[in-house]
Amino acid sequence: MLTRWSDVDRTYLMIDDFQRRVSQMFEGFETRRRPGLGLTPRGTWPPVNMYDTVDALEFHALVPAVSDKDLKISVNQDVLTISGERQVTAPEGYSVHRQERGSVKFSRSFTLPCKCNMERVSATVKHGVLTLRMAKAPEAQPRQITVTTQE
Amino acid sequence: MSENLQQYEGNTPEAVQDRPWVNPLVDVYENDNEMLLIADLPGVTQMGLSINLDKEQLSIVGTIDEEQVGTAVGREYQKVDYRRTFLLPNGIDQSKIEAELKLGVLHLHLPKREEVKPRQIEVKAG
Repeated sequence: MLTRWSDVDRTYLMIDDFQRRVSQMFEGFETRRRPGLGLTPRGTWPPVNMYDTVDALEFHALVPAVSDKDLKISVNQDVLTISGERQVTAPEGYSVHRQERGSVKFSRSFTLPCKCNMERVSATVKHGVLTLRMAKAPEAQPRQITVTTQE
Repeated sequence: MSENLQQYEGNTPEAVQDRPWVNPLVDVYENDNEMLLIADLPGVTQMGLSINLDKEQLSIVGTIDEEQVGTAVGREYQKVDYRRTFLLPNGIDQSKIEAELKLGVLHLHLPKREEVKPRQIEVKAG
């Protein structure tokens, strides 16, 4: 009888092990398959993160193989547009075995959540990442109000 | 079946950290002298990139090196690792592999060994 029970246990252990292995196979399958790093819908390029430091807005975009000359950034009222072109060509004299990287013309627009000071904007490309920093307008910055007691 | 399962033990490494990783996009080209592997690795600096060669297995691992600034308002990409492994064909001179990183793009030059390069045989007029 005792041996019977341990047989049952072993069967369950095996099923557990099998389940674990199958779920491990599919772990991260979705993100790994999608080249755009996950959260952007297909066809949206480049992926952009937006950050709010207290006195400025910062946009980071992943733009590999795009140099500063290929990028155009404009602001119209409160709409920011990042556009440009990424050109990928096969190097001359080489035959192609595999080509996954593509050329793309892109344009993405964002509504700015607050007023920004257009005199204080900086944009740099480094290691394939575009960093765009816009200082918030003075009236959009948080303000501390001091409370005084009155006798 | 239980023996079957035990046989595979150790063949599938499991992640210790829950850190997402993706396959970077890669182009592979070839000419008479070398194979050229080009990979998009945006956000990876020289420090965050490691290329390992183990026999004929070439693996590329890169980490996005991005400092957190303020609070994230919108996120379309995460801090991920890039990982991809290739099997090199025979005839690559493994001691002369060169890599350069430019604009977030990795260029990996895999030169061929002398004996596998195509060569022209001159015909002399007798």
